Amino acid sequence: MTDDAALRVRVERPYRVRFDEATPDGLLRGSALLGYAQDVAWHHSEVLGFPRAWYRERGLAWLVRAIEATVHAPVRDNEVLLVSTRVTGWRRVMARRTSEAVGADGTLRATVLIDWAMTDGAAPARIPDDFARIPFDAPGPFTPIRVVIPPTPPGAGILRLTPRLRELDPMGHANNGVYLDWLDEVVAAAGGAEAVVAFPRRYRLEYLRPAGPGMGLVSAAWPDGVGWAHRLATDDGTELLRGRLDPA
Amino acid sequence: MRFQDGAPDARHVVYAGIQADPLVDRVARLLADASYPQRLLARAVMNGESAEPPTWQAMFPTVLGSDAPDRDRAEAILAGALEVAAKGEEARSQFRGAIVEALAEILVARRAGIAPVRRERRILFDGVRSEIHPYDLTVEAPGREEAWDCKWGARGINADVLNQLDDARRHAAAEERRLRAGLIVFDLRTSCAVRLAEQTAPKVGTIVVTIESLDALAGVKAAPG
Repeated sequence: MTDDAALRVRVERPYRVRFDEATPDGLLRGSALLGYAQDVAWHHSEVLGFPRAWYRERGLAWLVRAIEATVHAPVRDNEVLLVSTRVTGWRRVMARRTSEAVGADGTLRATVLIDWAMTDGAAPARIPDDFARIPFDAPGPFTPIRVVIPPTPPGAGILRLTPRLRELDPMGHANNGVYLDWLDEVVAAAGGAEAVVAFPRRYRLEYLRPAGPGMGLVSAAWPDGVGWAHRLATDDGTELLRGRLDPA
Repeated sequence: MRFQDGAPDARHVVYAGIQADPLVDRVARLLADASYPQRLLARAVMNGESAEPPTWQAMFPTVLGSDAPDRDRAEAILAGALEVAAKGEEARSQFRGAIVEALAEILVARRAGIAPVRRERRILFDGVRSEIHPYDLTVEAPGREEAWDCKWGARGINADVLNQLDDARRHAAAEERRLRAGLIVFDLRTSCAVRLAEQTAPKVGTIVVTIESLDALAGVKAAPG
């Protein structure tokens, strides 16, 4: 038996879409897709020698800075997806992972890019040299995902939200996947019900500040260009997230 | 997907003499168990900037100082690297390349166990014209096949090698086989990243092992986990 875990620049794991991870249409929720991408990233990190304890001991954590998720084809309740991950870029304090979700029939269902930022809990932290001691997938430096949207227009669709307990993760704020469901919800409510189930479609989210428990949030969406723009802010107007949904 | 010896040509015959030089084997074996700073020293010395040991002792006090860890190995590396550096430009370049290949072979063999690790092999795919250039290193265990090209420096990364590695991986996938294909570069990760960023050839899926991550070839994780 040989141990080549150190060489695993790409790993994949199977995920079965649970009943509670599907929408009333029976389709995989965006939050569940991002949840798989995060979980397989953790698995990869552990395989390479960086389990959660390694981060705890150093007071370090990865935070999601931005995502780009392209949903190529429907994924239905109870389907099994093979979700892969690999590190496809890094900067001083950021790393990019690319995940692909493939169905049992071998078709690509979704591609997710996640830009992670390393933090020491208070500020961005430089990625430790330990990470240089793992091989990498050939791309290196990358341009972080940025989402540029205009000011929220007066006629935008608005939903008011408060993060629920089940939407919070162990870091004490809304898990990054939840924001994708909030985007779908407000776009559908604003007249984009077809856009949120169109294939292929692409989501881009840039996370600015976390949404914590009890916060009053204003979720806005409006048609912009060929797609939809989305802004999430607090009641007092502090911007938390900028997003877009477009045909891919 | 099957493996075959590369066709020998005039360059191969000359280079085979260098690969068989005892100096190559000696330095490669020293580097196989060397620390990262010791490998950095070897790279710097073999670049040929200075032939004077005191210069390197002053430049690498934590590697060559009196209380440096594993100092005997560091001294032996310095001596071997200086022998390489003393050669003419062309021979030095060939020795450096041969040392990286030999080092990679030792490390990969530690991970591969009893799986065959071979040098200078081509990979053949059904219905595909074979590449002219063989791979520096292959692992030919069924289900765990690997193909590696070895480079002394990031400047050796070019479109030809990236295309060849990408083609090999794609052809293997077309046969529903998985082939790990990558570059082993005795240079810094950042230098490789910068070089790769300049390349337009396909590179996603190509594993890059750099001077910092060489031990991963032997199956050593980056940190205790």
